[in-house]
Amino acid sequence: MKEKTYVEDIDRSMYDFRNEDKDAYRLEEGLTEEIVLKISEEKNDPDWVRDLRLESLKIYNSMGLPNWGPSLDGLDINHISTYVKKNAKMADNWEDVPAEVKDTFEKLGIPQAERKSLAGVGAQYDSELVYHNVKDSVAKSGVIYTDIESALKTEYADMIKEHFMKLITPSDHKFAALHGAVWSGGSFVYVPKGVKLDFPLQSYFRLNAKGAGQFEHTLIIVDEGADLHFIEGCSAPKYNVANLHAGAVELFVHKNARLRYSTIENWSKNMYNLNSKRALVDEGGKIEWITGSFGSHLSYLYPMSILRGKGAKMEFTGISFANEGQNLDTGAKVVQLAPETSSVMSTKSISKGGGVCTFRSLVKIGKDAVNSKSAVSCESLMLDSESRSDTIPAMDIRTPYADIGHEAQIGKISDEAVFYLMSRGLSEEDAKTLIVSGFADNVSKELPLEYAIEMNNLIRLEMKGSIG
Amino acid sequence: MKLNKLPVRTFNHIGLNEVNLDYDPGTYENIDFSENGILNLSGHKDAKVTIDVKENESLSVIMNYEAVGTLNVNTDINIAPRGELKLVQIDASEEGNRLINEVNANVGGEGRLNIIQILPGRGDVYSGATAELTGDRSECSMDVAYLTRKTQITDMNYVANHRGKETVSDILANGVLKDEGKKNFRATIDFKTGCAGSKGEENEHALLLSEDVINGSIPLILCTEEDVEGAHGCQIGSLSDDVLLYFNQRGIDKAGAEKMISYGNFSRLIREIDDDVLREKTDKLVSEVL
Repeated sequence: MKEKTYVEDIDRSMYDFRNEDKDAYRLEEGLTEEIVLKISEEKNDPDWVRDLRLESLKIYNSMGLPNWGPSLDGLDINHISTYVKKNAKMADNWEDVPAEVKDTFEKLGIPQAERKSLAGVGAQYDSELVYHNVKDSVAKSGVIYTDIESALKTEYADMIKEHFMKLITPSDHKFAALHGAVWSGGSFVYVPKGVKLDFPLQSYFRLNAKGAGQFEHTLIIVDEGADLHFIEGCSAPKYNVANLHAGAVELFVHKNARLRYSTIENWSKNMYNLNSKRALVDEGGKIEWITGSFGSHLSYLYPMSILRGKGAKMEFTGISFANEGQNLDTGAKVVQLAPETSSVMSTKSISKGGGVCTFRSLVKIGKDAVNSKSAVSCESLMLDSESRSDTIPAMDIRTPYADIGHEAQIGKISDEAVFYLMSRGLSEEDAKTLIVSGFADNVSKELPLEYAIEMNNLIRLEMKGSIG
Repeated sequence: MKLNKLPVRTFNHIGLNEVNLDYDPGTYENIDFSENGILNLSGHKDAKVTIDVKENESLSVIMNYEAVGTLNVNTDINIAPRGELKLVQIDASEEGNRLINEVNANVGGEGRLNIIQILPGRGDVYSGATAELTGDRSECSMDVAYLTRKTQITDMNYVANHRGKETVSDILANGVLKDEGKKNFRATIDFKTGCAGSKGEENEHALLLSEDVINGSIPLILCTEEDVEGAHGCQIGSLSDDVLLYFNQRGIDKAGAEKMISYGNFSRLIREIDDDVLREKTDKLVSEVL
């Protein structure tokens, strides 16, 4: 009988540290109109935001849980605090951020990354942003990068009202409604016409509080001919009770603009990650999603792209790694409504130690999307027979003038490939490590350098000891 | 009645999780057909057909459907170890009638099931097949050709559950959509724990010939076993310029090329009909419809 070697777990110690909830304002657990109004009051919402919250609450209460996907039985909103605020104002200088919060982000490497390779940074701690800053040169080019609450008090208030929760509406699903009711924090980015940023902007979301939810809203508008790379990172310490993340990301990519949206999701294993992301792309525009899903107890995550302009493009590159106690239901959706649009989805998943990876997708090609193309490719690697890997791709095609291709593969590491590498002098362990590194290579090479290094470290840790 | 349920549900708004059909079955007529030959199902309404294949036995069964109104046929198949069954199902229903066709099969060790479905499209068709590959080294293939035209619905659901070791499945659907035809194709390869060494493949080619067709496809691979190989692929669209040029250089215009390729989907399966009269009749039917 073939002997299996041990594959190590991801070392999460760099994410698992936690701070006490002292100096924090925390609303009681549960979801009631009173709580929603308290959040609204706390945030000094304009009337339309308060009304949207109350309408969203009604929708939330009227909708059921999804009857597909992983079970949400372990999540009870009556045991989630929807708003926790550290007693700190948002700063644009790390020295003005409370020491333990600053220390948290130092450990996560955010200020260092800001100094080295970013055009601006936003850092959210529980329900509110604690730091936001953008380089002078970027600000001078007219780029707006701030929190939504602040932007609502500027000349961009009308722009926000025009776009906020218009792409992801409260009636989309139960957790979009929840988000509409209790959202807090997040970022607003506006890149003016023709402005191309040489360095990325980054938002980092840290949920420290036990039994709490984080509901940040990210709204990005990339105007005609502009170019932006936005990076989103998230993590949390592990608790023995459920935490909830139900953020929303709305992206508007105007004519001939490009937006790359990169995410490394590294939530702790008690997190229910029920995030919604959606992009609307105009003529000649392009949205690129780069997504790494490593954390959370359970995820529902399917970034959606609506290609409404002629020649609009979408690329989705993703990797998921599910380990013991994790059920990562991830994928992407694309709706192609205009001529000559194109979409490419390329995903990889690795299941280990009883973890469950599901790739779930939708390609919808409308009647007017003539001469459009779509290609979907997913590959899954099973590292043992306690784990699970499912592929659930759906296609809805309504024009004959489109070229639609789909392929998927599932399997183990090829014995022939291992033999080939061993015959050239590699040990069996090195051969298998090389094969798995290669398996994830198309994703890591698309990530920003610091994230690529982080991901490669995770893969190397996983493969230490190799696979039997 | 609910039909063609996807083994794992997905987004509800795309309408592929199952079919809710406005039809209440009456009393089922039981038919045992464990022999070589043709089972003609015309004038029936609700029928349960049983086919038992004994150990080391090899059977070839043709089920010829001629629905009047709605014909609802459930076929239960049991293949004993080392048994083999070739089952050819032909929808020869007249225009405007409806066929509900469901197959459930259990395949024993080293047994083999080969299902061929010829659905030339003169009425709505709801067709599904589930093969339980329980025996080690058991195999199944499901090979389907369909044409969906006018306002017809072709709704399909094929499932291969790999349970035994070193089992093999192969699901293939080749079809054409014309006019305002609507087609849903569901295919699932499910590698259950313990089916080590198994392989499964599913492929779909859909040729769309009208701006008013609706094509739904959902090819699933479910897996709880490490030592398996599963793959699926699909190609959906119209004939490429390269293909049209190839035909054009040989004096065949676009319409001729589309007809030839559509006919090719069927002729490969029509050749599998082990009866000269029925083979010719089916060939004529397909030619007429195309």
